[in-house]
Parts: sequence; structure tokens; C-alpha cells
Amino acid sequence: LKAREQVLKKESSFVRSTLSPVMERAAHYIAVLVFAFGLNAIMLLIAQENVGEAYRTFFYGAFGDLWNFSRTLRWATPLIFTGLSVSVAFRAGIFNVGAEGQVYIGAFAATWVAITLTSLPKVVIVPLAFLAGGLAGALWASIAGWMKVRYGANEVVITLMMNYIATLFTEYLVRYPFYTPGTAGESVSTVAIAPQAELITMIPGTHVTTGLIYGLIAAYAVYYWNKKTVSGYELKILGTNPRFAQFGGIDVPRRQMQVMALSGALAGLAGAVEILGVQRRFITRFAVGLGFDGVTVALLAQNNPLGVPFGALFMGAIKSGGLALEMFSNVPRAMVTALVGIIILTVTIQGGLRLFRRRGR
Amino acid sequence: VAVLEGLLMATLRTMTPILLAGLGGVISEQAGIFNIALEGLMLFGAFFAVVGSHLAADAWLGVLTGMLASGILAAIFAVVVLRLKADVIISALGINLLASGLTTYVMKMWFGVVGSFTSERVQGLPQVVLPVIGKIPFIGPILSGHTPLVYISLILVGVIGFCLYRTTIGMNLRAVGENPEAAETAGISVLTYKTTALILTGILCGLAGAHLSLGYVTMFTEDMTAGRGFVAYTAVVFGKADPGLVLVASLLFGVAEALTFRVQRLGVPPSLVLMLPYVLTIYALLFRIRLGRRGKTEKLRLEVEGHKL
Repeated sequence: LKAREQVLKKESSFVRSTLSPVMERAAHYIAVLVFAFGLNAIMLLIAQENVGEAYRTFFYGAFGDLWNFSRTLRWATPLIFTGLSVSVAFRAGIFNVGAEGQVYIGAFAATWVAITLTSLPKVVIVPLAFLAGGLAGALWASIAGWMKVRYGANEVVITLMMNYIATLFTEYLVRYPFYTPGTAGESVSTVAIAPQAELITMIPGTHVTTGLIYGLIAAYAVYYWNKKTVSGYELKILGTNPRFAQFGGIDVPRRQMQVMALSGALAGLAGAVEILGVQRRFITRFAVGLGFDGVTVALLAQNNPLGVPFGALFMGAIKSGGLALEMFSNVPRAMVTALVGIIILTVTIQGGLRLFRRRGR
Repeated sequence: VAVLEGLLMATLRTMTPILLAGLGGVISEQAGIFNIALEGLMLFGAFFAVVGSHLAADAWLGVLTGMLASGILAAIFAVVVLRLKADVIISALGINLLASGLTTYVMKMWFGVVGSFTSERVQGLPQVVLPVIGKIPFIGPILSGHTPLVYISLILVGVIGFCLYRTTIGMNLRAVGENPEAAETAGISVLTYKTTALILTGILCGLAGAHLSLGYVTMFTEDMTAGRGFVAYTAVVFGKADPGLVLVASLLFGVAEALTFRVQRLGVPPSLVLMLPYVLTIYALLFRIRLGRRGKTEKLRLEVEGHKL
């Protein structure tokens, strides 16, 4: 039996070595994307749409010119943060699918700073709003973390429930304590934030702000933390082999709490960057999908913080293209939701390619 | 008394989708599959029930279409998770997203509407007036006058309970969930059992969705399941995947949802009231864990912690 196992191992390593791991991973993603877009094309064909025309609109809307591309960057900005949030948790083996709710809570805290402390100068109010957003997101996520650590509750269920609670809670805050009659959209949004709290626009006339740079800095910071610090390394062990981590003397509950807080903080920053950079006031339900798109970003980046900006760029392009589709053609944005659904559904398939290759031989 | 009567009647209505999807979740859970795709499967069923009803101008054909559609989606999920070994949580999120996108997409492309879909051709389910029980005061108005799906869901609790604990197939299914290697050695095809369990889950979720869209309203609105699938999954955890206990949990969550309509009328901000079922769900989950810890600590913790770690 052991001999057979060794033969099998040799065979599988042989198969693996026909392509380098990086190439193989790339090939896997390309296969997933081709599959998803192919299925989408079939969906369009069934609906008797012009596939070529639809995809042309889609890609032009994502990359076509500076104006369209800046919309891609605009969406990539918060997605870098939510992507980092999800990947930090996933890497430690914690399925935080509550980024959606943490974004709302963080966004509201940032808004609160930016509409109440209006007399502060720019250099103070912007960092303060970011700090508030990150802190609020961290606290919100820590509730779920505490439930996991203290009671052993499954974090997937808890964080999903917390998403609904966060959405409804911020809606309540906007409609009651922060209700200001006589402003535009008074029932669904707060007043506008102080002008000096707005982020600086990098490409005039668009929503590409310095938030994008902050996102890249955050990605590098998380990378540095993963690679160069003890806690970052311990979390990796926790993610790959929790039992070993425990025997190895790692304080598992404490690390799990830390990781939830960090993950929540990053999601909260995504909320802050949306408010200060784009929305400029808190609008109820403004961030639908940002958290779940963060899951996709993390999956595409394989939880590698340096890969996250690229994943975010990809998802930003998909969002931007989807918006263009809705504006300039008959096809609704929901097509893009379905497309992302197919990608998430299939991206974790184990060695799909290897399966084909073995059959081919 | 009239208030209580109305509340309990509404509870029976609001608990049904949670119970049906929860029963589906029970089957998956017993087969050892962590299934949070209930949400998407339910949404799919709700939409295609309306589509079927619209095309055939018949409520029952609509229900059948919904069940079929959810069953097919569940089969796809089964292939991806069981045959292609994708991550079960991630893929479930994919299924939920796919269901949400696809229903909205089809609604726009086929029927040209956005937000919600209904037509004069869409038939709702009839309401059954129970012959004898219906005449008893207090109990009668509560139990009588619901759609058949309400009664079917209650019957299914017994049927599924019987199948799980008293038939060979049910025993085999539980064996597959508890110890797949041993089951495989004993000559039970794990793959077949798991696949069938997932498809059955899909069909039950389709039924749950049909109740949402054809039970008391006759329309589909975007993302109308609003987290009920996740609540149903919590009911499964809360009920330790036992049909009877899941019924109790669904009743609890049903009351919470029925209460939201009442409390809203008292002038409490609607956003706060709508939070209630979700808060209660979390609280119930923690309460359940604490309760279990007092007794057989380790075993239950492993169960609740689920299939990760």
C-alpha cells in the first residue's frame, strides 16, 4: 500500500511539474474566466442579445478611455480594502463574510466624524475619519470574533446575520438620530461631509482620489506584516494547521480575535474611503456588494496582499463594465452579478485542469 | 386575544419558508455538507415558481417549476462541490450570488421588468379551510385557512424524521454524514448519497421559495428571500439537524418575523424592528451552544463548530 502511495505521489508530482506552479495557477484562473464568460455569452445568446456588441460595451466601459478607466479605478479603491479584509481572515482560516456589514459601520463612523467635527483642518479631520472608520469596523467585527472564540459559534452564520443588522442599524441612524429635514434625499442620507474632509481628486473630473494610494499602502503594510512579523507568521500557521498552531504554543483565541479586529478594521477603512472619496455623505445601502466582491478579490489574489490590488482592479473593471452595460444597452447589471457568481462558484475547484490533462494522456 | 390569534396565524405563515428550507438543510447537514446555499436555492425557487405560474397559468405547475429549478441549481452545486472538490462555503456564496444575479437578469431580459415581476396570469396557491378544526374557536382561525404548503411542511417534518431515523436509507445517509470512510467501507456509495441529499435540499428550498412568491402574494421581488435561507441554516444548527427541533426553531424565528409587522404599527422605527429576527437568530444560536455545553460539552461543540478545523 505504501509503495502504491509513493508511486501515486510521484505521478502527481510529475503531472504538476509539467507546468510551473505559477503558470498552472494562471492557467486555472484563465480557464475559470473563459468558462464564466462563455456561460455568460450563452446567457446573452438565449436572451437574443448581440454578444459581440454587449461585450464591446462591457470592455469599453471598463478600459475604453481615461474616463471609463478611471471609473474602474474608482471601484477598485474600496475593493482593495475589502479584498485585504477578507484575505487577512481567510489566511488565518477564519471565514469572515461580514465585510459587507463592517463597511457600513465603518462608513458611518467616518461620516460622523466628517459631519460633526467640521471646524478641524484637513490634516486632522481626514486621518481622524479614517481612524474612526477603522476602529468602528474593528469593533463590529470583534463582536463576531468574540462569539466565535468565547462560544465556538460558527463565524460564517454570525457574520452573515451581522450584515443584515449593520445595514438596518445604519439605516435607522440615518432616518432617526441623524435625520435632517430640508436636505436633498433627507430620508435616505445624512448631510454632506465637511468640504475639507473630502479626499483629493487625482484625475480631475473623476472619482479617482488619493484613496487609491492609501489602498496600495495598506496592501503593502499587510504584506509586510504577513512576512516580517511574528504575529503575521503565527496566523499563517493558524490558517494552515490550527491543531499544530495550538501545540506550537500559539495563543489561538487571542490571535483569532486579533485577526477579526484587523479584518474588520480594513473593511471599515473601505467604508471610510467610499464616504470621503466618492459618496461625500452617508446614503443608506450605498455599498451593496462591496463586501462580497471583496471575497472574490481575495480568492483571485489567493489571499496574497500584493495580489489584492490586481484582483481589485479586475473586479473594479467588471463593476465598471457592468454599469456601462446597464447605461448603454438593454442588458442589466445583474448579468455581471451572475458572472461573478459563476467565478466564485468555480474558482476553488481542485485541479480541474489536471483532471483534463490526465484524461488527455 | 384577537391580537394573539392574528400573531399566531401570521407566525404559521412566516415560519413555513424557514421550516421548509430548514428541513432541506437538515438533509444536507445529516449528510455532512455545510450548506449555506439555502438562500440562493430558495430565491431561485421563488422566482421560477412565479415564472412557471405565469407560463402555465396554474399555481401548482408554478410550484413544480420552482422545485425543479432549485433542484437543478442544487445539482450543479453538488457537481462543483462533490465531484470537482471546490470549497463548500465559497461555492455556496457563489450559488447565492448566481441566483441573485440570474433571477434579476432573466426578469429583465424575458419580461422586461426591473425590481419585481407579476402578471394577471400568475396564480397564487389556494387557501385550505380545514373541515372540523376550522370550526373550533381560537384554534380554528389560527390553523385553518392557510395554503396547502403550510400543511405540507408540517407533514414533512414527520416524514423526514421517520425516514432519517427509521429507514435504511436514512440510517445510511446519517452514516455518510458521520463517518464517510466507514460508510464507504460498508458498501454505501458516499457520492450518490451526498448528491441525492443536496438535490433533495434544493427541491425543499424550491418549495420554500414557492411559498414566498405564490403563498400570500403572487409576485417575485428582487432578493425577496432577504436572508431567510441563512436564518433557516441557523435553525438547522439550533435544532442539531433534528426535524422536530428545527420545527421549534422555525416557530421561534417565525414569531420574531410576525412580531415585526405588529411592532411596526406601534410606531417603533421599522429599521430597528426588522433587525429583530436577525438579532434573535444570533442570540438563539449562542443560547443553544451554552445550553449544550452544560451537558455533553465536547461533542456538541464539534457539531456546532461545523466541518471546518
